[in-house]
Amino acid sequence: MMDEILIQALSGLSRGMVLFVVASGLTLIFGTMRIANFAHGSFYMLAAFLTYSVATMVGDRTWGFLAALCLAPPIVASVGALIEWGLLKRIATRPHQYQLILTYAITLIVADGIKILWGRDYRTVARPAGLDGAITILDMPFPTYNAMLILVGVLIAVGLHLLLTRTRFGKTIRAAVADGEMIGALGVNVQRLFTGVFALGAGLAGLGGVLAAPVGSVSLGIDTSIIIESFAVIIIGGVGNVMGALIGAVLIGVVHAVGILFAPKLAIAFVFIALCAVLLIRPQGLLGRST
Amino acid sequence: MTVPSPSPAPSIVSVTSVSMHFGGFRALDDVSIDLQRGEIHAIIGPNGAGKSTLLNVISGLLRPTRGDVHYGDQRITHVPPHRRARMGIARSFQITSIFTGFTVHQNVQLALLAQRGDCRHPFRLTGERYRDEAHELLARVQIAGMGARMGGELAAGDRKRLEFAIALAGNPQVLLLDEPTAGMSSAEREIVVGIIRSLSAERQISVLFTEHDIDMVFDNAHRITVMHQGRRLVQGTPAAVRSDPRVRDVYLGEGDDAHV
Amino acid sequence: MTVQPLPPLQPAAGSAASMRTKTIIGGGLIVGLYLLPFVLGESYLFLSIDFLIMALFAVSYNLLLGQAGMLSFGHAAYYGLGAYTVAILFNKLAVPVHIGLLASPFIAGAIALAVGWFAVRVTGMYFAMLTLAFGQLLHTVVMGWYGFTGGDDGLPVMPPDWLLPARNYYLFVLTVTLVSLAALRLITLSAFGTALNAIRENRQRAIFVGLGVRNYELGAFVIAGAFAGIAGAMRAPLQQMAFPSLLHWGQSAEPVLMALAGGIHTFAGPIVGAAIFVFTNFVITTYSEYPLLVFGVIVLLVVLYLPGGVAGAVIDAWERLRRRAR
Repeated sequence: MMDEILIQALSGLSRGMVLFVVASGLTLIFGTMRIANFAHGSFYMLAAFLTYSVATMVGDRTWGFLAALCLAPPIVASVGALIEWGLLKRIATRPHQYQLILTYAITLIVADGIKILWGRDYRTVARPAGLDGAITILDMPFPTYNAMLILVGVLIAVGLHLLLTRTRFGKTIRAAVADGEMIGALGVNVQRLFTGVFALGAGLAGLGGVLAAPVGSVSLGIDTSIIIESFAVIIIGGVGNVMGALIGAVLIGVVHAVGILFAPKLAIAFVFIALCAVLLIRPQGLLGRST
Repeated sequence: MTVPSPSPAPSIVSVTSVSMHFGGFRALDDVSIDLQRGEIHAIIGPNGAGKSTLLNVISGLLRPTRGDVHYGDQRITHVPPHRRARMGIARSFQITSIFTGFTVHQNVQLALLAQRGDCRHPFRLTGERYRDEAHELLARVQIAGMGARMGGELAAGDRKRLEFAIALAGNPQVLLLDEPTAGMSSAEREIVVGIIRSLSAERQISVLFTEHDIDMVFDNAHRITVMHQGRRLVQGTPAAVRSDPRVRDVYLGEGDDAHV
Repeated sequence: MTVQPLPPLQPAAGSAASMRTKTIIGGGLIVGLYLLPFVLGESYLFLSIDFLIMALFAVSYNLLLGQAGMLSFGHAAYYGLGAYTVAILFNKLAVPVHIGLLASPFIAGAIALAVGWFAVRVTGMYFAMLTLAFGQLLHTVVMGWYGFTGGDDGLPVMPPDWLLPARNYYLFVLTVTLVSLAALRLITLSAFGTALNAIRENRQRAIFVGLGVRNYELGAFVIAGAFAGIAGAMRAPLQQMAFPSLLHWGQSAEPVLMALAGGIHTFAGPIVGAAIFVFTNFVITTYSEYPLLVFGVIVLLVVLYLPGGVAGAVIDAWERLRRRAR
């Protein structure tokens, strides 16, 4: 039983890493622009379907997946930049509810758009060669692909950390998260920053979509589940905080996966118990700053 | 001119050994202060001395890292701010805080409804309730003629007076004023100062206020507390404070401009 | 001081004459609504029932968004819970739907109390995310609790014979909706409602006039949830089914859209918004294979080009016409 829980926790960790990649994009957008972007799940779903198409077109499963990895995130990031530049920017000064509704309308358009382009069927994406097997942990098989996800998640976390602490763009993002009003006074081009952050966030959602495609199903409706869990992640981790998102995502991934062992259909409830506990103790999130 | 100090009275608010830390920064460091019944008490000091923080600790906006706040003989360190307001501790803000989308009358009416517990009743109609009392309070701060205007339309001095009327609706024992005359013309200042003095004299309301205008402080306060870098430097009558060499160091040491 | 009559506190109260006009129009409207089923065909009657339910759903929501400034994105959870209250009472205890309806505001309100207790600890966009997340949790629970809720198969609900004819059900829904709207109207005009306005206007000042802001927000959340529950309770017998999708976040977007379409700053706004929404939805689902896409594009255009909502734009256009006519 102990081994089973451990393997399940490891599996939750790999799922948590995908969630982290997606949620880190959402938390950066939220932290910088103060927008809870509902369309974030749509970016993820779009990238998953793009992965399917690219992989099918290329034919070879290894090269197909790699091609998707190179193509889908930039495509989705461009879509995100377009949405920010063409739509969100125009209502930036209006009350929150308009921004929420606008991003919600995008989820509807993307959902039906995917229905038109790809149909309503489930799709599957093959794992690249060499990652389709299993490795042995504690005498139990553990999918190689999931092990790779954990590794990739850590690499992306490190990469994001470097981006935010070492580059000018990253430092500006952190300053905007800390104090949104200051940033304009510092002579930063806020318009460009917002478009850049939105593209970066969308790109991360896209990256998450590509990474998830070979493990989950590629189907309509995956946008909703990922967006809800991502919201939970950033509430737990604290807005605008990438390391908080990492902790929150791993927590949710593991709690959910282990919860499935005990109550398969209600495992998500365990996630919310964790969420409520965090809210009671630290309403601003584990690594969030109180205002 | 200076105001003669009233005879020693029991303190209505006492702050004992309060410290307030924000991360590594000590906004208040072991500060004690007592406010006596009916007195006008000023807190002065350079920017960043901790004046506003102290008012926020007393009004409940901030919970101190260490130390205690008492109201009469009640310990209120952990009492939430809205309950302190209903106990009789009213406050104004440095940036005047009113309901800009309400009319001037509605501003005061809401304060009366809140103070008397009407707001808890989802079927008790607001209507014209407390119209006369709201009008009296506005007359008290001399803006009775502006009742129908929107709060957001008022000039700075009138806004501040409306904020006073809102505070008075709570029938307060203690009035905490954060820079009550900031950004006002001298005519507006005089009116506001007059209101503060009469409230203290007629209603025995204790006033604790922060202020940058040193002349205004020495003319009106019964007692003065001087703060510096989160600590209490000196406390005493205007005469005692004026002659204290440490105060001179703090103010004059930073250049000759006492009106900063 | 000179003795002068004091000005009224409520500028919107208006003169006695305009009050009389309002009463006459309102009374006429109500009589008209009661006569409607004797004029309309059955399919339009169902559409009208849909409208009444959505109007109550939207007005209950606007107590949060319009009055208290709380941007909830999980209101469908309480709507759906109302539907399931009726459905579960009907299936497990054979309680007829019109009796079950009486229980719905209490069940929906109780769950809203539990969720709100956590949710009011945060504000703004945070509050939107949290209410959305809790709404989806409730949706998942209803989906997953097969034995109790029937899972994604839903639960059948049969109204009693006397409620089966569309005309009778319409009259029943109309009465329940009007009573509920009257109660909500009283609440918006009450001292409690004024306090919610104050919190929306200036949260900090509201605290320092002595309002326990979180408690008021929680109260608004529970009341809004309870009335959404009544709306949902009328929905289930209409479809003769309670589905988990009633709690889904897509459903939660609807009251937000209705309130914004009609305008959030008046009591009647969301009712107008409900009419616009129900009609648009009817047209789109009838004529388009991809209703979400069309609907999404319409919402985009409205948000971008009609900041005051559809109703606001119509009023503006009307004013412009009148000025030109003069």
